[in-house]
Amino acid sequence: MFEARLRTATRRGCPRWALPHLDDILQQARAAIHDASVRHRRTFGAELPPSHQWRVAYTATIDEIRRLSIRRSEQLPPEPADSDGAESPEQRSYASQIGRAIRECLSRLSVMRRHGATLRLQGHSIKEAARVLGWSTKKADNMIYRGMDDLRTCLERKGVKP
Amino acid sequence: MNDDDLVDAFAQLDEASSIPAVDPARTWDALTRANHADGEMAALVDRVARDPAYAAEWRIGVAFAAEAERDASRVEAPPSARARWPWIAAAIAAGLALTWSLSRRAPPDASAPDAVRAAKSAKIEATSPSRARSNEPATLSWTPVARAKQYRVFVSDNQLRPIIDGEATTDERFSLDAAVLTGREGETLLWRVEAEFATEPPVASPTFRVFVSPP
Repeated sequence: MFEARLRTATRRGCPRWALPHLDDILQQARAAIHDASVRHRRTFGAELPPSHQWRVAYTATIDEIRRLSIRRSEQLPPEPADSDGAESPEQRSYASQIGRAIRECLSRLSVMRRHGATLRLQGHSIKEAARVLGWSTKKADNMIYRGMDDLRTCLERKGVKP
Repeated sequence: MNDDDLVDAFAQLDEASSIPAVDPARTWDALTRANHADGEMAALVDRVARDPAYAAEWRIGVAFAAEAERDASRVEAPPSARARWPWIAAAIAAGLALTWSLSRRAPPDASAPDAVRAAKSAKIEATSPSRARSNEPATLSWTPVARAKQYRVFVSDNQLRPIIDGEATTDERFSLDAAVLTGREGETLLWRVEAEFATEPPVASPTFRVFVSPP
């Protein structure tokens, strides 16, 4: 059960280039949870709480993705595992251009609108964004709406259409 | 351009970061804790906006934090009335059995039942602040437990590596040297104590947290 949830959660957030390495990433997370469980039992005489398991898994997952990213950047040309076959190089290049344009436009927004739009782009709901930034739901709704509106205007001026 | 198109495009941005990485523990704390230092969340969200590698780490954190929260709510959720009543009945039966058992047994030492009661009802709570500065000694303190002979203190880092492994103290406080905290800015340390009695088994506190802030 935990294993399936770990796989699903990792897959959901994992960068596309790292998906072919999903099993390696999960293996590192499992090993870290095991080590932490042993340490926790020895120190606290109790099982590692599930919420701590997720924390440990997160840290191990990020460490492994960073390690893979360094290895990937050192390899030229990119290893075959980088290609998932879903998109052509041209499509990939265009998607990357749009992503860069979004980032540039975000940097031009006012601070609060940028924060609202950024969290929306990361898939946060209004309620989640409000919690993360310590805002009221109404303020989060307003900042997300205005931030996304400014972002669209900026992208249109650049001639970008996803 | 609808929001979903923009969300997809933003997620596809794939560039290695050229700026120093953020400690994953800091991201995790940001996503799972309610109270944050001033400016902490704004700094992290700004980083998400300008660093695609960190944006991916944030997305994974969101997915993991949602699962952790689901687990936590499962543990804390009160059972439904239907699920609760057999436990209540069992507890009443156990209470009656314990009363009957104690009534048949003459105590060997008049103070023993008090000690049993003290040990069983002991609830240890932290009384020290949940923040410490990395360049100063910090004191961990807790509520006293009646009849405790001494306490053992356990402190671990956020990866559960022991820092203080069961040191004994007779006071309801324990001092952490500044050297222990130096270099741990932004980390959350976990700590707990066990009250030890003359004859009864030890009673453990819940696990508390102390956030190490910069000097």
